[in-house]
Amino acid sequence: MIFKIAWRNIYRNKKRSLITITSIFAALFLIILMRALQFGFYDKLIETVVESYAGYVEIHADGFWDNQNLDNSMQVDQELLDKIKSVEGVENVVQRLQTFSLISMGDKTKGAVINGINLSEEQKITDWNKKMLSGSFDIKKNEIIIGKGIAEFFNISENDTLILYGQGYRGMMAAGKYPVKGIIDLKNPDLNKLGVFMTMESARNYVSSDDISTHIIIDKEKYYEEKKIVENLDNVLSDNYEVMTWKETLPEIEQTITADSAGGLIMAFILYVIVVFGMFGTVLMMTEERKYEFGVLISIGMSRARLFGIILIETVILSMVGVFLAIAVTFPICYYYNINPINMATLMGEGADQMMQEMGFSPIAPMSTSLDIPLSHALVIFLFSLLISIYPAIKIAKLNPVKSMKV
Amino acid sequence: MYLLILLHITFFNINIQEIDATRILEKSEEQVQGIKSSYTEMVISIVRPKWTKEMTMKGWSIGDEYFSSVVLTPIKEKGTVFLKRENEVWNYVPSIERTIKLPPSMMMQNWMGTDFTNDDLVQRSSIADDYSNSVIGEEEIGGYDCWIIELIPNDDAPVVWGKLVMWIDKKNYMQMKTQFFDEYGDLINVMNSVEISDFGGKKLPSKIEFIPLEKEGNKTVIERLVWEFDIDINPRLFTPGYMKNLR
Repeated sequence: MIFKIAWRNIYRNKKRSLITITSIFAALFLIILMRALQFGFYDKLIETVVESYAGYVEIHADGFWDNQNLDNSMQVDQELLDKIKSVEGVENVVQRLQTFSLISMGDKTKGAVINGINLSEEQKITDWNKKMLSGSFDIKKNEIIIGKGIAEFFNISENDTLILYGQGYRGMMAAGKYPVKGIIDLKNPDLNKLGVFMTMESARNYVSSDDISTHIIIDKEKYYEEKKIVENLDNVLSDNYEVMTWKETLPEIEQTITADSAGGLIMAFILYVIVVFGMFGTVLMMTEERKYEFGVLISIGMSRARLFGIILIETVILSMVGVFLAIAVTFPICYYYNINPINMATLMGEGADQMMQEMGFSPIAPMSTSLDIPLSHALVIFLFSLLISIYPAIKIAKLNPVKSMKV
Repeated sequence: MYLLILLHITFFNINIQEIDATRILEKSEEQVQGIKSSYTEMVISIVRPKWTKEMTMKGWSIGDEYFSSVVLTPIKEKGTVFLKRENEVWNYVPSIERTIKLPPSMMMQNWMGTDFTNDDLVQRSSIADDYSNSVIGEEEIGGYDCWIIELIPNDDAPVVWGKLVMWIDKKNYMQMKTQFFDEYGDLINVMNSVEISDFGGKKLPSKIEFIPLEKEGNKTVIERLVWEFDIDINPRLFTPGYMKNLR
């Protein structure tokens, strides 16, 4: 009965209802699209930087992070690897040997990070073959793959030779000539500019050690939280190791996301203010308009609580229609741009591509199709509509039927 | 009366020593740097809390302007040459067949992983010219009677230290011990002469240890096995182009 009356009230004044619905729809539409784009961008960022190479969780010898030096490396045996693999949430484990060196060709020299990697194991985490621009991923002893940025810097093609020169293990000098067998685009500007890759064996030989590693990289199961993995690992490993998540090893990414997300929240907040005042305006208008009607209803015996119930249902229905419209319209848009990502560079014009690359982002941003975004924002709008209906509630409670009917 | 004479003598003695500090230093510098040319074979040990590395090297020098050294062991570094030419340092690395002139940015880095910096190789400050000195006492070190001399750098001296204190033995003018203080008066490095040997009639420290006090457990020990003086050395040895031929 109450529901029926509420529905009729909405239907009776179509124009007013339409304005309310439209304002809710428009704001939510913008909020959802903006957040979807932002979250899609973050996911992509995490995927390119974290998932493809850095790893969600890293293990080093204790003290390595603060003093990244080969003398703070560790010896990794199969037993340790098995132990880590058996930890809940861990999908894949690889070890790496990383060291800084100078690389040089002709009269050009630059700094680089030499990565000793285990090819077949790495392939399990990301598909390296797909990322090769030229040459092959299958390198032999003392051959190297270089990042695209390095290739551009030296203007290198395949089979050119690079000179590596740096500090080895325990006071040894590290130096050698290495032919380039492939060029890789890791979709991560930093890695592209600094990354030199060789087999674990070659890297160990380069630094004059038989058995050291600097990193153990852990690939987690898809929806497993990295924090939990760290806890699990801490229980298993001794104090000789430090366990870190990508949020600690790549704080700049976490910070970028937080800062950018805060900007998005401010935008969302502004839009909310607009929506809420729009809704409030309609409700205010409606309450004033219908004072006479309320007075009649109360004087013929309708309880004030019921009357309030009608108003409440009206507001909820109006906001829900707006919310569902917004979700229904934005979801296909998000879905479309998830499959066909927006290239931010073309969107932002000439030169933006380079700028974003330099900042360490990939300019390609798919939208997030996560339902978290529309649902959470729908909930916020819903709560606001409840909040707004307090106003007519108070009005109704105080209403004097006789006075209100004197026009 | 006797007391007066005694007092006078003590006083006088101190005076003599103060006058002598400069001469002591000159004599001491002559001991090592007055040498026209030299050939040496040495073992350098790098001592770290967790490990030790030993290198053997050969070295040649003419005056204190030219110095060249080649690594003999470890095998992996064999043939690595460091050449000091006046204030330049050159490095030849056989595994990459490259001769590198160390850029200023690398001068403060460790020399071959030791506790010395590349810059230490080309130090051009002169103890006689850049420091004012005074004898501040006497002490016996390792069985040698030494003067303790304090050296304060002159205002315009190209020196990084705030103060040096040297122990120089009275007989042979060997630097038995040197303490390096920074500008705040904190002790930074200590250099000790641990063993003394006879090289061609000259008594010289044959084993020196260098201890950076900031890094606990770190030290570098240089032990000279052979040290020959005033021999004929082809100046070609000290040209960058010749570095790859040194062995």
